[in-house]
Amino acid sequence: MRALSHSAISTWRAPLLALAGGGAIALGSWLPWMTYFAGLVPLRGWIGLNGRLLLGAGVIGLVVAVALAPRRGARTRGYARRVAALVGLGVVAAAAWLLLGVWDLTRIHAANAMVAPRPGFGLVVVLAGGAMLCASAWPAAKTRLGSVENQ
Amino acid sequence: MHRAFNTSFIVAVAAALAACGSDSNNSVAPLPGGVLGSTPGWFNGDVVEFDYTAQFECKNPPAAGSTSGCELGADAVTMPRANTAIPVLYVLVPMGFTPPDSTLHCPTPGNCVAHPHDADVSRVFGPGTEKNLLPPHSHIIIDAMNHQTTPWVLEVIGVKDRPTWDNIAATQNLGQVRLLQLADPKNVHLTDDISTNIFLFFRVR
Repeated sequence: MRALSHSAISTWRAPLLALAGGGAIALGSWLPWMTYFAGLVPLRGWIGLNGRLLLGAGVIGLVVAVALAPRRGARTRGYARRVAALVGLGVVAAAAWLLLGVWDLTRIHAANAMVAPRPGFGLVVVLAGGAMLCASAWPAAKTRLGSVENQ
Repeated sequence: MHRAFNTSFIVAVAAALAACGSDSNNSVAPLPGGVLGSTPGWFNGDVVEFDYTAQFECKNPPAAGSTSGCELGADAVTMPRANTAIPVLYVLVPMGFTPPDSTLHCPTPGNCVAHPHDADVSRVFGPGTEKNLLPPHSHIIIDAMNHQTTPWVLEVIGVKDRPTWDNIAATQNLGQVRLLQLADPKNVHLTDDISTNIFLFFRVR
């Protein structure tokens, strides 16, 4: 029983992580990245190209989750893990860079001081989603290492 | 972890309602008498002018980590020097509807000195957001402070529907705002006061 549930967890860990990661990236691209007037007026990621690109990355994450399902062939899952690692790392890097931009924009500037800009939490959700997508590639490496050791 | 991270960014914020005319990079030369700019506001049923005499200022709240020291939603620890209790400038923000221009103090063309109508947020949001429109708002005070220059602390109130906005615009009185807030404990029509540690310096004309 214990072995079975451990096996099930190992089997489904990668697709579930990719599913959660892709969903979080897509959700984060919709959530406010910054706000005006103490959070009263949200500026969502989708208003610009960057948010739409991140939405696309989230959709890729969801497709990767399907490709990582246990019923898929080993080759498909191998490609999917590489894509998950690549897209996940890209999303983490982009989100970190954009968070720096939000920090810069929400400091007091002469041009925007009047509207009380404030950071939103959308990019934090995107960052977490990117990390989860990256993590979905990790069990594959562990399994491969285990199979090498067994040989 | 998330909370700490988020807090550090919230702290960095700031928002100084540097009054429509008190920008540091503005292209408006100070007027005679040391006035940096002016903006309208409501006071006891009338429209008055605020003459800004100094840049905005932020006093450090406990968690403020930004270079400006500003943090919305936090009370100031130290206060600017003032001879009397520091009065409050309330900023009324329409949420989810567009009020008539005649009821808006900023940004309406010609009213707010050196206050832009849009902001470039393309650094974060990407191409197509170089001219992101800034939300309009209005101001209201409850005391003219003897028309003397004094520091004012900024607070924000969100108005959620047009009838409530029209009600406030018709009376132009903070007392009416208070009555509406009392009658709306669940904040369906307008928010409570959202405090900041941002101080403006102006006199009421």
